[in-house]
Amino acid sequence: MDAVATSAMDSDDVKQTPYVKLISAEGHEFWVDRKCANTSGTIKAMLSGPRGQRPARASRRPPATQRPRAAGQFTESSGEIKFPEISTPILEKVIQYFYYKLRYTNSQVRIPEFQIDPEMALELLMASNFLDC
Amino acid sequence: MSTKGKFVIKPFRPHCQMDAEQAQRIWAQLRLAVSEIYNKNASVLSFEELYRNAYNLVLHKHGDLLYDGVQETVEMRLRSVAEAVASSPDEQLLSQICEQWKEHQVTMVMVRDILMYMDRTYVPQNKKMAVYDVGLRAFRETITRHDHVRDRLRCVLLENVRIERAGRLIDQTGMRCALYMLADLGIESSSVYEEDFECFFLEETRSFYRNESRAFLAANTCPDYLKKVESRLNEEQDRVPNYLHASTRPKLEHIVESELISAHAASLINSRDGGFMSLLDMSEDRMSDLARMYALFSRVPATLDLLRGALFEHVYDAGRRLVDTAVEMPVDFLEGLLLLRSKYDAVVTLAFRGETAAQKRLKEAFEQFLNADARCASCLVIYVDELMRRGFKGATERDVERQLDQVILIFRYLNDKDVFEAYYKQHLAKRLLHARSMPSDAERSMLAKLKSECGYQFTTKLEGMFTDIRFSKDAMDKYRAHTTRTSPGSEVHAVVRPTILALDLDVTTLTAGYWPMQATNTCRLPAAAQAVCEPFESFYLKQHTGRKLTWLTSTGSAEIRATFSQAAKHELTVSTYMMCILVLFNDLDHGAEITFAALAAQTKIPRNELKRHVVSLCTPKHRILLKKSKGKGVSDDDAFKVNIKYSSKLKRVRVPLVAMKEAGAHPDSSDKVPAAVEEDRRHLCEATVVRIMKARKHAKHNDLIAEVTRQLSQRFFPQPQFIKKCIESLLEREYLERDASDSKMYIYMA
Repeated sequence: MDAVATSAMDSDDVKQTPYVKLISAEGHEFWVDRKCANTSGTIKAMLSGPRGQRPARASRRPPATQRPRAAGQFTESSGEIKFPEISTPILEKVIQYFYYKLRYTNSQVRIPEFQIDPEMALELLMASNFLDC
Repeated sequence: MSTKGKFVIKPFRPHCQMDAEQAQRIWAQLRLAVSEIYNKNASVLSFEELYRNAYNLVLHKHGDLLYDGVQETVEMRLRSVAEAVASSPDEQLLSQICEQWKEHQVTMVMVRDILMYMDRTYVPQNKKMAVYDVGLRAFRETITRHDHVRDRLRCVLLENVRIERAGRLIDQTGMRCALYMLADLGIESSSVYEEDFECFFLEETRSFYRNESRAFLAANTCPDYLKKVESRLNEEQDRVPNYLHASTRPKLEHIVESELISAHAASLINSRDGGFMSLLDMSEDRMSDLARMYALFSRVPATLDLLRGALFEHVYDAGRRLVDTAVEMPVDFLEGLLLLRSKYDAVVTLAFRGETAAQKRLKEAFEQFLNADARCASCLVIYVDELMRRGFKGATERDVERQLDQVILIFRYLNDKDVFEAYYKQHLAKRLLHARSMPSDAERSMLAKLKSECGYQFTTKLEGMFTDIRFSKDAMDKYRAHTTRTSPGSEVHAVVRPTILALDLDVTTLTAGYWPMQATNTCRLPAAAQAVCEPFESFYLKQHTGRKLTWLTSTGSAEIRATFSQAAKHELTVSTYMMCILVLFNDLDHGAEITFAALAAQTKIPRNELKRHVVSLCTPKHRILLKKSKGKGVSDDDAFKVNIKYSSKLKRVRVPLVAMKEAGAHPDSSDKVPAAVEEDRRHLCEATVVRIMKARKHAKHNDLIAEVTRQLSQRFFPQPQFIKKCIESLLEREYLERDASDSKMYIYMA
């Protein structure tokens, strides 16, 4: 348990890799900025392992340093996530959306519309539901 | 739309609805994964796969299966853990529980993460509890509230606190972990921390400190007790961040404070064994103890009032004692008073941190005992008089200022500032007339201070006195120039008698209203003196037409040259009355006697004054006259003659006036205000009433009284009865009238 905790600390200190690999159903690999990928709640939880965000009742909780450290992490914490149910075009569009979102969040400029082809709209909708973004 | 027009809506997953069997299969996988997580093997699992499985279950309406299944799995898991915890001995219970709690948290976070989709959609839709909270509840019900755990855990926790209070070390990390666990378990509006621990803890704390404080106070002095309290409070304060939950702090502090401080406040103040009152007696040495007491009491504001009240009482008592013992000796009294003031001022500044409320109480205490005795005002005046007369020799300007400032400090405490003024005027008049010089810087500075304290009105008369002295000097200079001019070459000093060789006149002209002297009957001056007075009178009246000049023979002084024998020739400095008396003996034969009645008849000096001056000439030290009878009293038939054998080592002799007991300036201890002041007050009060009424035209009785009191409080505190009398007198003289319809209403008559 100690060893794991230390490694978790290390990865925290190193700030992890700046990019993560997202793999589509067809095996297409996308290298995505970690910050962008974190737009998706699901991906964020996958990447951060058990140190994810906690329920909002934090005020009654002990301070953050007292929180349990990662006692174990899923395979995804290495920075590589497979999505066997998301096809390449959809995943590509999702990733485009990540960058779009990051680019225009809190932005002063006028926000252009995010173009979505009608034929992929439904599938995109389901993917976004899955990915929580 | 476009020409394509082909719009195919495909489901996200190509395969269709999931049947129950498939759902069971997926759930079995998930359950396996959950136990893997419990076994810390999560790193072999794929988050995406688990998440996708849970996602699919929820998506295909098998959320119930998933939710209930997870709940059951977690509960089952915890039941086995609970057995292990319950069977562990007391010593290990804490660490066991902590370890299990940590593991549970880690596991549940992971479980929650993979079931994120369920938390997001299924839980709110079905109004269920989030998965993490389900875990918390399960943990609470199965482990911390286990029959063999709940009470034992509490006992262990309380025992640990007890051990720590006894001064031994405990496992603070374990305590902290367990207590924060209890706090975290407080979900569904049931506060585990409060119910299972805090209320017991607080109760225990209360009884612990109740017993300890009683025992300690019985065996130790108050300062020691306070030190103990201080350290106890610090301990308890440290305890909160060390392992208690932050919400306990105010409750804990309140209990400790009320048991250690409030409960013993009275005895801490009054105890003979180093209580507040006895510490005050030796405040210089025990300042740190006093400061500590204040610091502790200030934690409980209600007790602070007791402390201030005790300060008030103490100062008041000390003041009363001082008044009773020393008021007859004004200088000692004032020095004691200043000492008292600086002592308690130090207490307020150092121990009470200079807080305003304590300053106010201190001021009230001084005011109360000073104003209870009318003599205090005159004591202050006499003290100033002493300072002015003989003090300040060699003192630097700053020293003088400091001493005067202290006087002003005391002056501020006086309510009846006009009484002070009256006395001050008397003494100032004496000083100014006897000093025969311009008033010193100290006098001016004192006046300036009074002016800044009480305003322009208060000092106009006093300033007028100073001006009179200055003008008199000018007038005398002019007069001298005038006499030399009119009789050039001739001697200014009239040589009248061999015994009175030269007569030089020095007149001080006083404005009637400013000075405290009453115009008494002028005595008959010796012819020689009369001879120099008349030219001045005519000169002065010519200069200032329309004025009236009255000679105040009662206040003057004279220098006479007396020959007692060939060996004893002296210059005597005596009062004008004494001069009149002595000159009478010039007309008599050598060694002849004259009776008291004859003296009175020939000099026309009022009898009691004459008696005083005659006695002053017969004192053992300055036995210039010899009285026939023995004893102190003087009767009409007593005869006096010149003491031919009088001699003194000094050539110039100053003959002081004896103080007559019944005619002293020192009032008796009663509250009575001197008559002159009483008179002034009536005028002032009437003037104030008229001024107010003139501005308002009409006013209610009570409003008027209030306003007059407010305006006059600068000088004295008038009794409502007194104001009423003034109003009645004004009604009689038709300055005011009562309203016909409302007898409480006054109307101003223009």
